[in-house]
Amino acid sequence: MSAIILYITFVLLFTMGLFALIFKRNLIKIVIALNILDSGMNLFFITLGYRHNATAPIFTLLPWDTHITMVLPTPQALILTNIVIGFATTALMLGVAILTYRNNKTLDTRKLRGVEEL
Amino acid sequence: MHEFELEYLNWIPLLWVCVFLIIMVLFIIIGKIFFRDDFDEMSEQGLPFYSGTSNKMLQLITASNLYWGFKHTLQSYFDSLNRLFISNLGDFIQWFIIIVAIMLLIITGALM
Amino acid sequence: MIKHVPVLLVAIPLVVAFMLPIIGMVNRTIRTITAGVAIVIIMVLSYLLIQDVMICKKIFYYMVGSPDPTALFEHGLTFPIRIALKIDQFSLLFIIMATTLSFLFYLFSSQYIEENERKNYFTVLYVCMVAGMMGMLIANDLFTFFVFLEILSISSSALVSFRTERKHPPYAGYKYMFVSSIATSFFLLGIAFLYAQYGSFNIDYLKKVMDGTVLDKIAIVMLILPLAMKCGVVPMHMWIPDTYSEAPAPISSMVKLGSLICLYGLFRIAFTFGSHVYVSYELGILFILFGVLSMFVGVTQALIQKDVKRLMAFHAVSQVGYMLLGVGVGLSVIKSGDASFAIYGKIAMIGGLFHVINNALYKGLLFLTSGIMVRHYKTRDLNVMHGLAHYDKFTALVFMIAALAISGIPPLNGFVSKLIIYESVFHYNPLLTLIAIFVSVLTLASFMKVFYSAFLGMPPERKPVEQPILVKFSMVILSIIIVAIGLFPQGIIKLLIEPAVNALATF
Repeated sequence: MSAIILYITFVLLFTMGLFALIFKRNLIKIVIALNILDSGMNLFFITLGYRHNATAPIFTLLPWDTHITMVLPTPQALILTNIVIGFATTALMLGVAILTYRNNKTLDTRKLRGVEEL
Repeated sequence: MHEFELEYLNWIPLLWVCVFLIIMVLFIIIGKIFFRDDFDEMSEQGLPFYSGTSNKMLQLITASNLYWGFKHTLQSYFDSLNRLFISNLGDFIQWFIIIVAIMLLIITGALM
Repeated sequence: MIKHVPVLLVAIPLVVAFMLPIIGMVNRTIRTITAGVAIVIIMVLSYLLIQDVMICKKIFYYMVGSPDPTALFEHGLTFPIRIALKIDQFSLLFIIMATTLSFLFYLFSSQYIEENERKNYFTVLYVCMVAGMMGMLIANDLFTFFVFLEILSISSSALVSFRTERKHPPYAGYKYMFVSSIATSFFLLGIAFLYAQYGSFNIDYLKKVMDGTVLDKIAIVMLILPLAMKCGVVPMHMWIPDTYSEAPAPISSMVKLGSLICLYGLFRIAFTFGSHVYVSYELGILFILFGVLSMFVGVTQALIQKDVKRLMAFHAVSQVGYMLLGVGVGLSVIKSGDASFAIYGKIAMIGGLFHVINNALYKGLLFLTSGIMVRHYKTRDLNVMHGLAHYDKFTALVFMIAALAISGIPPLNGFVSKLIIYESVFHYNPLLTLIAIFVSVLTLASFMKVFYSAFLGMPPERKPVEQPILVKFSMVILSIIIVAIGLFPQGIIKLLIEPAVNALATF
């Protein structure tokens, strides 16, 4: 039952991130929206591995006829990679946004460079 | 691949290059016999003739004016395309989501 | 030794890339030579594999970290559990192209980019880009592909904004990273849908157990469209002119090479999963539609630009349409009952894949020559340039070879692949051939405009400086390869391209 709530949370986070990406014009707000999107994706992956009444996958050599069930460990390993990738992306984009502000004195995407004519 | 090999036996590019060189040599020989003797390329007989102005800088046609007729005829098409390239970051995502929606409808069989 | 090549292709650039700043603090020449030697080593390793993979038709598997790396399954299990790498004929074609071109562009950039305190970072990020490309090409695992796609995106976005003292390059790097982040988030969503159903990321295992539920088809769309956005398919192509025009010249060529590697991923997923769940006909039709749209919109926008690199970036969009057209025709007839695949579908795919190789060559050469033009005139505006050919005949000759190659003039290599595409697509629908020929004519018109504006006319006011020796050497090698492939295409097709198409289209 609790897995359904997590899936609904993922849908809300994903939609919120996408809406902010389409409609916001400040460069820093776009970075925040990308972070929300990444958090939603990580939540979805972890929820996929959930098994009912199971514990954390920290046992090594269980006997064959045990009643302990574990959640899937593979998505947890992969989500660590994804969190690091999201961190690197955020750092790079914020650095480049600072450089843009230093050169152009504005952070609004409507005022930054468009094409003057064709 | 067999069809490609059988029907295109005349794909021998070295033959084309040799024929081109032979024709060029023929042109040079004919030219040496038949060109006039009093044609001096270094004087103003060798320059192209531009009517209109004698200012050397104005005789060059700049790059924006080269395909003027093409640009003028399709001006409405270019104006509507140009509105996409203002680097509006929201437009990138908007078109992507529209294409994702259309492709989802087509591929899962809901539309056709 | 040769069974460890898949891991060496990725490990050598990564290890060298992170040793380079330390070496750079000691001596700058050694740093430049070390990076060049690393790229040469992986180029030689990829050439050594031709004998085994292309001629003897073996496939190399490698399981990272297991006691016996070439065993697919471990002691009694029925599904693979480690990171899997695989080199087959289709991968090897792209590996050869990527390593050779990376080496030639590195030679150009080692003397074109001026030597200041930021060149350390340039070299590190360049070798990281090469590592990312190699990882994407040999991944047998969807998550490995995703991780190396991110490595490629981050390093190339940092390199696009290399000249940070000017106004526009940092914003171009921001836009590129923004588009890449959206693309990889949707890609991860597709991977998650497939993992939720079958419990594995391995491409071979998924091909075996996949059946055609609705969630599978949704996942395939989510996997294909982000890669299409990174390649520059219309109507998701609006970030391409800004990114290619603000980057330094060898980085534009490397970003173009990166987008061709994303095209490799697109074809791999479309042929492995798409034909298995019986959506190959609809996918093929959509590829053809995207291809025709990209060709037309790209070239009509390119004809009226006045900025040299923006014009070439629009041509990059247009040429991707040719590749999608060729492979799309092959994909849409692959599952039809009659023998149309054997008659014209396979030849269309040969044309499409050959066009990828040729496009990387002549497009790279065009961006490099545009770098020399921009270096001399200090501006990218075509209205201001005139008369470079009076003093610099070498650049004029090289530019003419590349411009004739992109327009499809015999006997250069563009003509071969375009002729194959025209002939085979004609059997499918004659209207597509008409549009393709018209687009080719407009391509020739726009490059004649560039040649007239920049190279002909009155002589410029000051003489250009002499180019360094490695700059000229790399451009000479590229034009020799272009002319050689145009004069002798049968050998390349029989040795490299036909095994690749056979490996891709059998399932």
